[in-house]
Amino acid sequence: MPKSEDKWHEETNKLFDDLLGPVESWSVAEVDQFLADVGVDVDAASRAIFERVSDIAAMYRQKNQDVPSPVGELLKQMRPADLPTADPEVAKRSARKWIADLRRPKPRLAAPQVAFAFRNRKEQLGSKDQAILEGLEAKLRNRKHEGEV
Amino acid sequence: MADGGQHPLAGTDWYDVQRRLTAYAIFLYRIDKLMEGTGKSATDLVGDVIVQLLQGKIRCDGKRPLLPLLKKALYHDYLDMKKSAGRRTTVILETQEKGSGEMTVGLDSLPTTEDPPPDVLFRQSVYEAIGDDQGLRDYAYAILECGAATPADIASLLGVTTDEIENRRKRLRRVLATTGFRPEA
Repeated sequence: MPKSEDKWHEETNKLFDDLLGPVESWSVAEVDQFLADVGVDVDAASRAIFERVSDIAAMYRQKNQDVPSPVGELLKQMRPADLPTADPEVAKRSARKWIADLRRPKPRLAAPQVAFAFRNRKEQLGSKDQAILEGLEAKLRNRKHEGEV
Repeated sequence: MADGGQHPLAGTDWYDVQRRLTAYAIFLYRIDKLMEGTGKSATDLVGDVIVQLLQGKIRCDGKRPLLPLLKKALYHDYLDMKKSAGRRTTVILETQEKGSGEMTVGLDSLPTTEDPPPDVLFRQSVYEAIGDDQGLRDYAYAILECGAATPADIASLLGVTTDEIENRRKRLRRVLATTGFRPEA
């Protein structure tokens, strides 16, 4: 990349900071909203980092060395909520994190596709069953539309 | 720690660092998902930087804030990766239609010296993403054409309050995030 292109990158980054504000100044909710709008799966990214840092911790343990405190702290904070644990404290922390994640904006994916268990036998359903399924579908679409799902 | 004191990274909110760095990496990628020729996403790059920090390859003395340090490291990694991606990327010459309806292929469809320079393309892309929203157009014009940088400067130039500038800034974030803004595309 020529030197002038480096300079161009630097200038556009400065313009981006001026246009959108430096990420340090965004509120937590704004960061969450931005990542959701862009479509980043933060959970998957956190899990990937957790796994990479777990490997680093494992290397220290293999050498019979203490795991450095920042490594241990990151693993504690970014531990996926669905990992099994026998420690009640860790379980409590995971539950709290799981609940906090529920309230965070999620990336909007494609329009929901409702898959019926009776998809290939819809014609065989009674009118009452059909009405229940249609009601559930409408309810789900509404919730998706309102951003609850 | 050699002196037995608190580690410079003690008390770091890693989840917050990861999310803010990801938002920054997305700026660098210009809201692109993958960098051509590398297969690496913005989130991969953030993971690399955090791992480098934990391995001591990025030095943190605890005297300066962590996030600007990591942003700088991420920026340099991004440039290095872009340079190596540029060396590996194969240019595919696609058929393009000229304004007259005539089809061109091969070298004719590559950028020429007559094409607008990158900074002009960047500005054009911002205005295109904004569309007809006059409030955002004025906001972008104040920054891109008049060089106003702080909310106070922009507010005084446009004759509005700084709160209004903050609102426009937030609105622009959403517009750029949801329109898949790609100045280099």
